[in-house]
Amino acid sequence: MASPASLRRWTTLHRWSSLFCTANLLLLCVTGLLLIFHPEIDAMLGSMPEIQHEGKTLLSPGQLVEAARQAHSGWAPAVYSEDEDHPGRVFVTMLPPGVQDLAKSEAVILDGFTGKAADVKLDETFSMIVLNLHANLFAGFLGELYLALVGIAFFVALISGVVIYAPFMRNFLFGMIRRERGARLFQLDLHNLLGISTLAWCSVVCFTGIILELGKPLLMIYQSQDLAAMTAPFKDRPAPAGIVPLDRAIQTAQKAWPHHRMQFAVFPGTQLTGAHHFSLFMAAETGLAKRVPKLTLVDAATAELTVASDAPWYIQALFVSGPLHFGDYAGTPLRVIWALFTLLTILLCISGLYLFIAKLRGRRREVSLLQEATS
Amino acid sequence: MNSLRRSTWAIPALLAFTSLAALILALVAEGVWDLLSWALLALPPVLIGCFWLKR
Repeated sequence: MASPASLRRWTTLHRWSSLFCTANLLLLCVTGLLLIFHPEIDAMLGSMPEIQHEGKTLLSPGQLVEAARQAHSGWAPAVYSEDEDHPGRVFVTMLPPGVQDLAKSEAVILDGFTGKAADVKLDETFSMIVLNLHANLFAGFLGELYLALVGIAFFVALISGVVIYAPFMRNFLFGMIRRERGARLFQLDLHNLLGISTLAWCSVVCFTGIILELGKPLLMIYQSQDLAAMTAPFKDRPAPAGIVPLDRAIQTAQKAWPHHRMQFAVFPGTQLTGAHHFSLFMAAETGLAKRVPKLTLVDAATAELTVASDAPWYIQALFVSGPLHFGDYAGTPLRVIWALFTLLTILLCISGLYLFIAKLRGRRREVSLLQEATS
Repeated sequence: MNSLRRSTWAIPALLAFTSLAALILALVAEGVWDLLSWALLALPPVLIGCFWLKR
């Protein structure tokens, strides 16, 4: 049992960690709510090109990359990926000549059946603007670090909230809500019920959010440690004069991982894969391996297999954090439940804020009563 | 039910367990398991709704 002094310390910790993250959390909840329904919003706004696929066959990834090259002549392809939920929608991330930094890239959206590049700037679509606001407050890497800090504060608030929940509820029934004894007690009971009931979901979304915000440092560790070790024999060789077509690299990867489909491919010449290799990420059709693709490094000069293995554990954690954070991994019902939890989190923030303001007012009243009494 | 509610941790622990089970189940399994994961994960919002609206 916590002593009164330690209980007071936990309460103080809960108050200030919550206060620090509340305003940010409200923004994250509102933008997160929009992101849950981004496919519907995209369709409503018509921000993504329609794809007709009756009776048509899909072009090969290599052909689509060629189409992207034509749309951005002189630029080099960096990442090829397919939209799992929209068959035929393909993204090719292109880099300007001589640039390696993916932050300066531009995505070309292609119709996988016709090879036609859509006249859409992905970064200027409503969903991407909301995503950027949600992920970095339009402040790039600094914004990501700041929001990681917000996530840590939220986690502290959750833990300290649980610690002070127990002594508070000792003599009460779970779910008690006192309606007849003033707004403050009503908000307090609601805050307790909301917080303790959504604890697991909030913890998971908070924790995976922190991991996603740390994606850039994790990728830097991957480049300097695991990727460097895997490509060590190639380190001193000059960059290949020409690279094999993407389709041949995919064939090699598919031989290494039968019954897997390529989720995305990184082209040689970008920091994520080095000068000598294609990195292909191969996902299984079902189960966890659908969310956590296997890593394949294919020699860009010969199309021979260099490495086929699981990604390092922290990269696997990064992969699995995406679905667990956004809730887009088990159909629309799961997304609706995700939205419900997000709304409950908003209510949790508002009731918490109410309690904080009520406390401040209470203090001010005490002070003014004291002043009246002593004047 | 009331004895369950009297315990500080019984219902919170149960909800935490079912929520985590649902999140993982939806991740590693398909088909009918998705149905179960939706049902399990809907428990906290439903329970909050019940207690909130209860007179």
